Amino acid sequence: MFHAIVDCVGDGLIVDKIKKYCLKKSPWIFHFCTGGCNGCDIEILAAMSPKYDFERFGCLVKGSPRHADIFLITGPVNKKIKSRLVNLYNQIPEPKVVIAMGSCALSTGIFQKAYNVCGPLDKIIPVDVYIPGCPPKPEAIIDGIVKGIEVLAKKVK
Amino acid sequence: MHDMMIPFGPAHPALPEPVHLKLFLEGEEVKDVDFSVGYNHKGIERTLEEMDFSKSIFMTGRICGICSSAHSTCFTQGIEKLLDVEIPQKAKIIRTIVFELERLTSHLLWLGMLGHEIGFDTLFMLCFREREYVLDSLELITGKRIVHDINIIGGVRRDIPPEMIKKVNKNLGILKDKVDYLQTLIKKDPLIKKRTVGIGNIDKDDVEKLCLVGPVARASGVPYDIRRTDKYLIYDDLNFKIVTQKDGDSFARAIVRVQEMFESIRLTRQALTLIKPGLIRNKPAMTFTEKEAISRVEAPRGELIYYIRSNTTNKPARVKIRTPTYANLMCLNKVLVGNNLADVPVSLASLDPCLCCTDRVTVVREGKEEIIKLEDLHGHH
Repeated sequence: MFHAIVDCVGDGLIVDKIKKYCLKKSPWIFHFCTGGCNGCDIEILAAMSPKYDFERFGCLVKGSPRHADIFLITGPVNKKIKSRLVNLYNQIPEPKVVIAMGSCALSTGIFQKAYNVCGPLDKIIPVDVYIPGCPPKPEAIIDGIVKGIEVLAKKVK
Repeated sequence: MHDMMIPFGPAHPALPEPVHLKLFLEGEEVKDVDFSVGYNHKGIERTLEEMDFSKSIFMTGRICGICSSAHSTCFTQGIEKLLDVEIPQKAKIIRTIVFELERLTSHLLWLGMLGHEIGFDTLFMLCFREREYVLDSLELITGKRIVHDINIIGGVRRDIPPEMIKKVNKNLGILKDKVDYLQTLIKKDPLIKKRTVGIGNIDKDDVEKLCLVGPVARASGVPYDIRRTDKYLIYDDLNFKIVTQKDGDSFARAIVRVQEMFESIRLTRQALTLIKPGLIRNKPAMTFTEKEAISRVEAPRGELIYYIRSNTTNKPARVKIRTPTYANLMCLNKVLVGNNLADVPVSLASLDPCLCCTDRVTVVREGKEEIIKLEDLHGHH
């Protein structure tokens, strides 16, 4: 959201304040599966649902990387998707936070010896927040996203 | 040849998983489809060959997070055939309960995704709210919400005590009313009808020709269900009906899945009444001989087949997995061609594709044997 505001108003002191406020209050998420088992992806959906509802932190899951502030990644990166992942990472405007979610993204987990896996994620792109678990519970996802928002606020300064 | 080509994916808002479709259009109408998978391929079949049988069950559970216990039950059944072990009745009952609860989560998830694709996000939220009742029951029984890992060779990992049965029954009672409401919503809502009736038709002949499975086949009037034909676990003792519809469009597939949810609730309740005190595991001697086994189950998306060949070591010599989505992707051409571009997400979602299940490598070549490098495979689109 704040990228749109900056485009309209230009850079300045007030804009900096708006920037910081908006980023804290409405970080938009772009979610990408890099070849995991879908367990994490459906837990993200569950975290959006009424019981957990991470939209109360202003988070929205968006369809385009260009609208996003937080890049939420699941899965052990496979060889075919690696270049697409880097493309998507470059398309997200600065400042951005990368959250690695699930054992696969953290350490490639159970797929460590599989021939077509070239993760873990932090070998390929820089990662700010890690959410462990196979799959992590929605509570853990919310905790990770809140930590991501803190990192984002520091990056804006 | 065609007016334009629109790439669909691998990262697309309508897709939870990476897959690439090339849609060839003339105006708004889809004329041809090209399909490219491999974004999810990890090499699981090869990795299984290097793993102990007892460890590899947990690997098969992680082939797909949505039908995790279908995969691990199917694989464990295959291993038990190789070892000639009969598992205790109570273990069979617990496996059936987890299996049916998983079908409920899968169908509710699917219904929510359908709502999301047609822009009816309220339905998505409703489905996910009701889904929590099932996930709570699963967490109670297995200790995990997703990827349950309940199966081990010869039985199951955890028992169901009597007080748990009460709680699960209570959850199912609440869920039944909620699913009832969802059914009326789907049958009466004009928005859902407009987006799904007559979209993505598959007729009965095509189902038989293309060997489609699961709810997609049943929605076109083919009563094909492995629970009935194979009678694995305790399905022979349980009373359930196979839901079929005639129309074969996206709406029929929605109705089939909603009515299957009622059947799953009924099956789980019947299975819960059958629980009596007893053993939950027969620990077999892990000595393997050269043997083959084929195991089939009815996963939430259809027929799932495992072929396992063992040698004298405690690692499988070969595991071949054939997932329901692999069978159902064959009808993609029939479903998408002739529709508008705007209907592509709906028709695609109505097939309930699960690509992390599907991504296997098969190279079909005629003639002599040759060595194919990994880079060559990645080059193919």
